[in-house]
Amino acid sequence: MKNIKYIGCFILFAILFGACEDYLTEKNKSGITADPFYDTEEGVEALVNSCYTPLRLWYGKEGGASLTELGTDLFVRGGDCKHPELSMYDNINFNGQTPIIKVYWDWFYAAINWCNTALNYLEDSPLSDNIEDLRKGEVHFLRAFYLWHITEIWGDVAFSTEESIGVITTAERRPVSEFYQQILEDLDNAISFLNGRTAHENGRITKPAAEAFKARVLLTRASASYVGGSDQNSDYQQAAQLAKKVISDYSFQLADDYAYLWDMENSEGSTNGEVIFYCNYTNDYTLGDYNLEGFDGNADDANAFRTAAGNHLHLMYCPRYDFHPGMDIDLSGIGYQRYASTKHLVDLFDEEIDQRYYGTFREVWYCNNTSVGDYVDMQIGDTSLVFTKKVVSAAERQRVATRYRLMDATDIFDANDVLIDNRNFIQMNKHSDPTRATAMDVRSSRDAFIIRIAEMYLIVAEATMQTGATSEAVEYMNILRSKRAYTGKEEQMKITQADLNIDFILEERARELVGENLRWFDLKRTNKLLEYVQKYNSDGKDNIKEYHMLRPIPQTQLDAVENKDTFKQNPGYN
Amino acid sequence: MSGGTELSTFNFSLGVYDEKGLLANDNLRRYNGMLSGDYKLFNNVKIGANIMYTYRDNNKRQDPLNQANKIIPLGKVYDENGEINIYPASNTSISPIADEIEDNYVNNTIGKRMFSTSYLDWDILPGLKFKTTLGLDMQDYRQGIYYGQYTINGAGNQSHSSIENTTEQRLTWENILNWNKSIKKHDFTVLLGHSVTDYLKETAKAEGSNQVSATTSFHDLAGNASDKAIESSRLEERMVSFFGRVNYKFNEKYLLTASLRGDGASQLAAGNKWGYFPSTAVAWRINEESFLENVDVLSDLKLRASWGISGNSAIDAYSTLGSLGSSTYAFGENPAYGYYPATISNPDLKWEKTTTYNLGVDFGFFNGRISGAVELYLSNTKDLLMERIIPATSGYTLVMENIGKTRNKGVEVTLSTVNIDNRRPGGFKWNTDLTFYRNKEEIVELMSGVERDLSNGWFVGSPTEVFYDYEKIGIWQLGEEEEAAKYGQVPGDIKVKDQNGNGQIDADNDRVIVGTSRPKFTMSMNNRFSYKNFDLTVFIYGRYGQTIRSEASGNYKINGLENGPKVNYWTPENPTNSHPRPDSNKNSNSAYMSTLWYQDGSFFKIRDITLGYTVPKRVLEPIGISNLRVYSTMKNFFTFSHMDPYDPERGGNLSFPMTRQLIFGLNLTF
Repeated sequence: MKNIKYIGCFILFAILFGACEDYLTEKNKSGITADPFYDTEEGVEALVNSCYTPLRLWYGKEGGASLTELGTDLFVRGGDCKHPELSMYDNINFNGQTPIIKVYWDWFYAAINWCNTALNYLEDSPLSDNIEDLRKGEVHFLRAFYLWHITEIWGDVAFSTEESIGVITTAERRPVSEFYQQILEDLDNAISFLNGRTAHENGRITKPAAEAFKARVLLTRASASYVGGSDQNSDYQQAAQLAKKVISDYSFQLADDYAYLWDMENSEGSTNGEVIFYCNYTNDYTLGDYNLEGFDGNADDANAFRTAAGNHLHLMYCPRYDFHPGMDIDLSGIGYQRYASTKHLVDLFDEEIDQRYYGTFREVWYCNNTSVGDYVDMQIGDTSLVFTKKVVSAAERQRVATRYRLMDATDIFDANDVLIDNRNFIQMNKHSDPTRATAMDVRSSRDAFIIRIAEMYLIVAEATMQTGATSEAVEYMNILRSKRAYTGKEEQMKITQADLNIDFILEERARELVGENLRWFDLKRTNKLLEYVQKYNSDGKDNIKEYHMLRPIPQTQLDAVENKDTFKQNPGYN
Repeated sequence: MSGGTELSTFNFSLGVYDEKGLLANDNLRRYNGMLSGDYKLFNNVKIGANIMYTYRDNNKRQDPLNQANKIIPLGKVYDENGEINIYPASNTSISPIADEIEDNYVNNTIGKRMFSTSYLDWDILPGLKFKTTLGLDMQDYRQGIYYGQYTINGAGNQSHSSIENTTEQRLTWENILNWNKSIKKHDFTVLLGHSVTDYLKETAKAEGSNQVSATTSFHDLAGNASDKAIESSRLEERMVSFFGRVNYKFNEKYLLTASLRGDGASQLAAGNKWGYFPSTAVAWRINEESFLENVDVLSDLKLRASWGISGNSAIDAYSTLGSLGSSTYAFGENPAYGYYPATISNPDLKWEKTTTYNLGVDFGFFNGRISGAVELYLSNTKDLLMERIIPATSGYTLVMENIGKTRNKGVEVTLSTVNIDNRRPGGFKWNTDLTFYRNKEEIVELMSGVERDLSNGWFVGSPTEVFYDYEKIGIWQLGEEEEAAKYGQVPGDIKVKDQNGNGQIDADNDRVIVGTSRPKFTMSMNNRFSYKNFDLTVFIYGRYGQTIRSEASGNYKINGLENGPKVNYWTPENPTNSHPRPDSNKNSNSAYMSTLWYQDGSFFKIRDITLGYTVPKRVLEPIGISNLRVYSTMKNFFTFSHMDPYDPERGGNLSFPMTRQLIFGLNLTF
C-alpha cells in the first residue's frame, strides 16, 4: 500500500543517512595533531620552539633554584622556604614522595621526548637545508643539555634517543658513562651543524654555546666523583682547550664593572658582553599568567609549559624588609625569602678589593613610608635598614640608633655562624628587578644567564691545575680576579701558585657564579658536597649522607614502571 | 494555561525564579516559558511541538573563604568613612570582601536555552504506529568577567577582563515504529527504531589585562593595555543508533522482553566505533496464579529477572587522535610559540561494556498496605575507560585506555507502608517509604595484568577509587621517645603504622588502602503524616562507610605562616592523637601530612521537614480560590556525623558550604 511504501522509503533514507561511516569520522578542527602538522614547515619550527621551553622551567623558576642553590654551603632555608627538605636532607621528608622531584623528573623526560621527536621530523623536513642543519644543531644541543641535568641530578637512570610511540611502560637504567657518551655525541653534532652561527641570534643556540657547554661537560666528567672509567687527564685537557677557544675565538668580554652584569639595562642576553648562552624572557605575557605554584611542586602543573612566562627569581632571595620600620613593599622586591645567605657565603668576599661583594649583595634599604617607629629622625628617602656582614663598633651603633635599623654580623648570625632569624639576611641581589610594572608584579623579563665567559676562565683554571699546568691555571685565574677588582686593587686580588687548590677554585666559583643554578652540581662533582654542607650548612650538617649525592627518583615513576625489579629507587632513599 | 479543541490542544506557562546565594553578589535569576501544542492533521496523523525557553542571569562570586581563613585577623574591615579597607591587616593581603566594592568584581553569565521537540504521530494501521521526533537543544551563553587590581584574583597586580561566548547545540532525530497485536491470550508488541544525535560546541574568548577603567567592566575589552589574548575552539560528537524490542505477554501473567541495539559513537577509534548491546527480561506475576487466588493477604507478587549489556563511550572527542599542546618561548622580543606532543594517540579505544544480571521481587500485602521491592544485581564491566598513569621516562605521564574489568554487585530494597489510615475525613494518616541500597564495587582484572597498579591507585579486589597511603595510628606521645626515635621522629609527630614491623617506614611496604570514597550503604526514609488540614513530611537520608578528603582536617597550616582551619593539635599539655604539633620546619608536603586528610565521611541527616496547612475550602470558595496551602520547610538542619559541625555531604571541601534553609511558601490554585 502507498502508506507502507512511504514508511519504507523514509526509514531507508534515514538509515542511509546515518550509516555513512563518514558521518562518524572525527575531524578535529580546533586542535592540532602531529600528523600532518609536523610535516609542514610551521609544524617543525613549532616543535623545535617547544624544545626551548623547558629552559624556562629550570632557569628563572623556584624549583630549579631550590635544587641547585639549597643544600649547599651558600644558602640555608629562608623564612618561607617551600623546599626545606632540600636543605635539611632529612630522610623523612626527602625521599621519593618529595613533590618538587617529581615535577622536574616529568618535565625533563618530556623535554627529551620532544627533542627526539624533533630530530625525527628534522630528517627530510620541508625546511631549507641551511635552516634544517641549524635546527638540528639546536636540538642536539638541547637534548645534551637536558640529559646532563638528568644524570647529574639522578645518576644512572633511563634515557632514550627515539621518539615515544604508543604506550611505554618499562624503563631501563643506563650507566652514567652512557649518558656522557650520548651527551658528547650530541654536542659534537651540535657544534658541526651550528658551524656558521658564531654570533647571538635572538637567543637560539650558537656554536660558542655548544663549545662552552661541552667544556663544562668534560670538566664534570673529569671531576673527582665520576665513576665511569673515563680518561680524566684527557678530559681535563680537552675542557681547558675548548674553554680557551671560546675565550679567544669570539668577542665575549669580561665586564669592567661587575654591577653592569646585573643591571636590568643589560639583562638582555644577546647584548650583554659576557653572556654566551641564556634563557630568554620578555615582557610579553599574552600566553598566560605566571603560575608560581607549579614551580614549587604544589598544584597541578599541567599548564606550566604555557604559563612559564616570567622570571621569578627576583622574589626568591628577598628578605622581609617590609617588616622593618619605615618600609612598605616597593620595587625593591617582594620578600618571598626562600633562600638565606650563609655566613660562609658573605665571608668569602673581601669587599674592600673585590667588586663582586657589593655587586652581588644588597645591604641598604631606603625609607618609603612614614610609620618609622623609634627611628624618629627617619624621613622618606633616608636609609632605613642596613644588613651588614661586618661587625659594627659600639660607637657606630650608638650613632645610628635613632636614624635607621642596623643589623650587623652579630645580629644576623650567632656565635656558631648560624642565622638567628631566617627572615633577616643579606640579600643575594643578582636577580632583582626594579623595572617591573608594579611592586606586586611577580614577573620579570630578566634573561637568565646560563653560561658566561667568566665560567670559561674558571674552567681553564681548574682543568689546567688538575693536569699539573699550575702556572697557566694561575694566569687565567688572575685575569678573572683582576677584572673583578676595584680600580687600583688589581694586584691585591691576584693569587700565586701556593693559593691554588680545589677549595680555592670552589670558593672562586661561589664568588663568581652564586645564584646561577650551578653550586650543587659543582660540590657534587668535586666530591665536596658532604664536607662543605657539614661545615657551613646548619640545616643539613647533621643529616647529610653519602647517598645524598644523587636525588631520589619520584615514587610515581617507581609505581608506574612494569619492570619494578630492575628499576628501583636510588640507594639510601625509601 | 491550557486549552484545546477537538483537533488541537495547547499548553502555555511562564515562570520566574530568583535566588540569592550564600554570599553577596552571588545570585541567579531565571525566566522560563513553555509553549506546547498538538494538532490532528488527518484522522490518523497528529503533529505536535513543545518549545521551552529559559533565560538565566547568573552572577558568581570568587570564593572569599580561603582568603578570610588565611588573612591576619588584626585589622579593620572598614575605614573611618565606612568604606571597605582594601588592605585591612598587612599591605600584602587583600581584604576578602574587597570584591564587594562597587564595580570591582563581576562574573556574570547570561544563558539562553531553547529546548524544543517536534513530532509526528502516524497511526498507519490498527496496532501499527509510527512516530518521528526531532529534538533541538540550543544553548548560548556569554560569560563576562572583570576583576580589578585590588580584588582577591587581582592580588594588587593588574585588572583583568574577559568575555567567553559559547554555543552548544544538540540535534536528535528519532524514528520509532511500534506494532501491537493480540491473539487470544498472547499479546505482542514490537518496536523498531533509529536515532541520530549530533552535538556541536563552539567557543570564542577574548581577554586582556590592565584596563583603563573599572566602570566599563568587560564591555570594552579594547581598553585593556596588555596581555590581550584570543582563543576559540570547536568540538563535535555524533552518535547513530539502531534498536529493536519485542514484548510478549501471555495470559496477563507471563512477560518476556528482548531487545537489541547497535550504537556507533564518533569519539571512539576507527574500527571500534560500533557496539552491539542485547538484553532480555522475564517477569512472572505470581499473584495472578490460580494457586494464590485465595491468599488475600497477598495483594501483589511479581518476580522478575533480566540480563543485558549496556555501553559507555564517554571519552572526550578527539582523544583517539592524540594531540599537541602549546608552549611559550621567545626569540628576541618575538614570541616563539611551540607545539609539543601532549597526548598519546590511542587507536584501540573501544566501547566500555557492562553486562548486568538483575533479579527482583515486587510484593504487596494487606491490599497494598505494605508494598515494596527487593532487587539484586550483578554488573560486570569490561574495557573500563579511564586515564592511566604511565612512567614519565616515556615522555608522557597519562594515557586514556580501556583499562580492565570491574564488578558491581548489590541489593536495593524499597518498602512502603501505610501505617495508619483513618478513613474519616480529616483522620490521622501516616505513610512511610523506606529505601536501602548497598553496592560493592571491585576491580576484577587490570589490562596490564598486574594485581596492584600503585600509581593509579587500582587494586584488584578493591573499588576503582581508593586512598592508598600510610596509615595514621595517632601521634607520638611523651614517654614514647625511644620508640619514635627509631623512626627518626619525636613526640608530637604523626605516628604511622609500620605494617611489616621491620623498624622502618618505607613506601614499598608500609602503604595500604586506608579507605574508599564509595559508601558501604545508603538509606532514606520518608514519613508523611496528615491530620485534619495539616500535613507533615520528615525525610531522613544517610550514607555510611565512605572516606572523604576533608579540607578542615587536611589543610592544617602546621608552620603557622597562614591562618588555617582550627584543628586539635598536640602539645605536651594536650596529648591528643588528632593532629601533630606546630612546627615551623614543616609544611603541608612534609612526611605523612597527607594522612591528615582522610576522615570518615559517614552521615545521617534529617534532610527535610515540611509542615503544611491547607486552608479549608469553605473559607476560600467566596474568594474564588480553589486551593490554598501554606507550608514551611527546614532543610539540612540536623546532621549527625563524625565531622560535626561540618556537613559531610559537601564532600570535604570548605568552599561554598552546604546551607541550612528555612523556606516558607504557598501553593495557590484558582
